[in-house]
Amino acid sequence: MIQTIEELREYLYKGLQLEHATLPPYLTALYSLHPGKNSDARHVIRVVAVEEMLHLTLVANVLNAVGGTPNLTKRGFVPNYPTRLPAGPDDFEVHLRPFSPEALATFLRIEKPAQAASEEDRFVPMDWATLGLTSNGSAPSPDELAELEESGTVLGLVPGDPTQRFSSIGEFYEEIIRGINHLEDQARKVGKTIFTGNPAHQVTPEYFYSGGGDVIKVTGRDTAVAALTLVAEQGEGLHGAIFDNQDEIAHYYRFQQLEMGKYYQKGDEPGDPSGPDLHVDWSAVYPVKPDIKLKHLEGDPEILAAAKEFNQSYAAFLTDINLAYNGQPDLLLKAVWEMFRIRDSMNRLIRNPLTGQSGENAGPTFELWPSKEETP
Amino acid sequence: MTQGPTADEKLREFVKFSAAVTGFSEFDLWGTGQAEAYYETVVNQVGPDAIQNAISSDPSVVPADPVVQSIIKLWYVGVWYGPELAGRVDVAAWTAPGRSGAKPAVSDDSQPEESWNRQAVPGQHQAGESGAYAEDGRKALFVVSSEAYTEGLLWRAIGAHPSGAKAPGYGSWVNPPAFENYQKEQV
Repeated sequence: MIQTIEELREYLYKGLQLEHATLPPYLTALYSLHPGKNSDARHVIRVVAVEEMLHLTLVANVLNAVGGTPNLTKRGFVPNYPTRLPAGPDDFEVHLRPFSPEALATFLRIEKPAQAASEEDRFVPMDWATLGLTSNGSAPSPDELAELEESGTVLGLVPGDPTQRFSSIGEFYEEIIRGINHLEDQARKVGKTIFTGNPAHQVTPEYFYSGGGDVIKVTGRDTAVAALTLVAEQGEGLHGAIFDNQDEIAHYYRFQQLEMGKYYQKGDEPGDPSGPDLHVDWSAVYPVKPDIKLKHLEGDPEILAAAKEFNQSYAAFLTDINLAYNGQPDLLLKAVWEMFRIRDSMNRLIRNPLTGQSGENAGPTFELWPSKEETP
Repeated sequence: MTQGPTADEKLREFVKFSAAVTGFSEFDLWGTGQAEAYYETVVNQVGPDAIQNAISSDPSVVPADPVVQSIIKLWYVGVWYGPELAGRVDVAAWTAPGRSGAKPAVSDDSQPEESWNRQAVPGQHQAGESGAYAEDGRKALFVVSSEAYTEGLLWRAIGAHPSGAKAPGYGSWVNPPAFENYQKEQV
């Protein structure tokens, strides 16, 4: 249970990291689609990616509201892919890879509704041996744990106790909502509130257009819970429902449509969409090398230069978003221009075949803080 | 028995040559996503031998081989101008500033208009094509695909974007055109 405001802020920072971490895999798959093809898949992935950007902003609003300071520029904020996400008793790897049945299966797991059966099931001890992180299954050293927690190698760890993780992302947000309620109850008993943040740091709807739903200005308990509930609902669905109260389809069911080749319509039961047919052409995809790193590009100096430039511009983009989340929300409008440039840069990388590795294409590496030995 | 270059090698050779004559890097050319479509277009229109001749010609010679001119235009505007159109006054006028492809700005009395389409053709359902095709299936003038237009090098060359596509974001017009510079040392 979250006991202090500092813990709550740490949870919310991890929430920012988590929401952002879905973007590189979604965008890599999105831009791997051949231009002019796969319009159904393009639309579905794009909508989900845009809503993840809304979620990032909503979590930033909650963090600002409780007097925290969003930091998207901290080392390790962007994971070194693959990263791991929780799925009940198991966890699974999330790769940067082209659109494919495997990628879609991963997306479904990312968004899968997963409410724990009981209170005890909400937390799962980490299995270090299976992860290959320690040979005998014991926890890594405290230093290694700290590094692991910061790096985003494993997402969904319990902040402050990384020997355990949440059984699902939904449970992670459930814990935050409980923490907010608990801390706010405590504060109110002595005539105070935890919502002491500067209201000018809230990102409000006029700064967030066409962004997959309305951004919520967080000023107190109700709006905080509403913002976090929206994050959970858009992903997994509200109590497993396909449509939310605004007739938006939850991400899980959006992706399921691609798997089943049919759209959902109102009145459908989960797993049984009855809307129009939908077509996926698995072959109209650039074969992006999975989890590509700068070190794979040594034989292609032009691609390497562009990949490095992409990483720099992505870092600069996160810096701008971060300023927007820290009192200059109007910068979000300019960040949209950067997003378009990022899209174009990703497209160029993904359309370039690698030499000497027949059948594989380049892609963005998202190595924002490469260690020395990884830099060619 | 010696093996000739594979299809992949031929495509790479085409892109390498195209980089030399367009002034853009191979990375940028692949980045358009049009390399395969353009190579196929040139092969279909002038045949593999003509490409080979063009590639082995000296790129510094002026005027260049008409096929080379066609290849350069293809990358810049996404439109195939057959080498038979080289030097045509009406085509030059059509592509002059202020004209973007509707109709020739000045009529060309030297040839009847339908002769364009008569030389033309083939193939694949090109957007907006009309008129008769030549018996050999060639076509003198067509937009390769809807993506070819938006991927034309000319937009990057002038630091702009194709009208109606690849929008750079609401309000971004407040910025001056952005010229990219990481390939400036090349050619």
